[in-house]
Amino acid sequence: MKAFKEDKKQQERLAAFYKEETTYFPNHVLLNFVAGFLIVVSFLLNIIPCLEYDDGYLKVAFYGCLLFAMGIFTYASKYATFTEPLTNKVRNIVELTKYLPVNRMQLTIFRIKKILKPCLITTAFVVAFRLLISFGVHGSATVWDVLMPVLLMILWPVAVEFTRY
Amino acid sequence: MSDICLKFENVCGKSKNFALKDVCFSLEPGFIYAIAGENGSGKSTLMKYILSEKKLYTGRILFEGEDINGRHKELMNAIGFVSEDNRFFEERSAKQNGELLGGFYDKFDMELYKETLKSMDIAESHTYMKMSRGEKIKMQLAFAIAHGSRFFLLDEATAGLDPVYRIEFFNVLRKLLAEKNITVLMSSHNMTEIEKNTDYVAIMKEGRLGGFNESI
Repeated sequence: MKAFKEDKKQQERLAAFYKEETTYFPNHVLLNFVAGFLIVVSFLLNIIPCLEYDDGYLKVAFYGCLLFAMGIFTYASKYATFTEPLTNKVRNIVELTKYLPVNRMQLTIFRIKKILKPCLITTAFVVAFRLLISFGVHGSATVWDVLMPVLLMILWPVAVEFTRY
Repeated sequence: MSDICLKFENVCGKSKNFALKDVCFSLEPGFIYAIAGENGSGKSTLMKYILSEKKLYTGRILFEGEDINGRHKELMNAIGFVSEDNRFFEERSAKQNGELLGGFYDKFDMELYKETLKSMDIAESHTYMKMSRGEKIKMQLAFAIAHGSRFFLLDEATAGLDPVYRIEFFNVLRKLLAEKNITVLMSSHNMTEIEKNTDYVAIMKEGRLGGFNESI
């Protein structure tokens, strides 16, 4: 299981690399905007508690989570690809770094750490709003109001990101 | 530290239309070794096995006495890879590439990188994509020198270079060999170049590698 261990030195070097890289490729503004927009829209869909629906809940939950995942993956893509500014050629960071002293697993850990923070924050707000609305309107809530966001807004994006590149 | 730089022990590998068969050899520091062979004979595959983070072969590859499997980071710090396949930021200058990618190495000497570029007549402000093939190869060599490589892996690096570039390229390598205890393994299909510039040569054919013999 050694490969899954975080290498602090490599993580620091990756952080320094991305900081430096954005000074040369400041084209991440649009990615951040699109990601933010998708996450906000998904947030509005995801805060509706389970008890509000007689049927069709799964459909709304599916679209909400799909939009959230799209937002998160858009946000994470700036850590996986970069665009050459003149030719607009999109290139893969894994390919760029394959002959450098950085392990692929460390790149994955770095990306997961980057998405984990927005996933945790958004999920915390979604759960809080769901419970608030549910208790306010119905006087009770279901366990799915907590489990659904945790499963679909934390575990699923992290699992997908882990296997993505 | 072992007095053998690189050792292949019964290395075999298979891909779609190709198989590397029972490759065994060892390289001592201080020499330029060449693997000659036609395109598709397995030269690049052999190098890929050394460079790849994933173990793509059976058998063992040892670097300085230790198995390379699971040591990608240490290995990339020690290996200077020069090839058309090597990856750099295409639309950035030689200097910017050094700044961006040099940070990954334990010891990347930016000053040495700039000095080496200058000594090879490459402007540090020159964009990678606008460089000629010879300039790109020389920039990669400068990059490899700057991160303190002990083992230089040159995959068809001199193919298509004009004679002036080629002489200059080997002069730099010979100077390094004289000053530091490095090892060079190169692949080429140009026998004249190999005979003139290398110390030992082995022939590769259909995935099989013959023994290393002194270059004439």
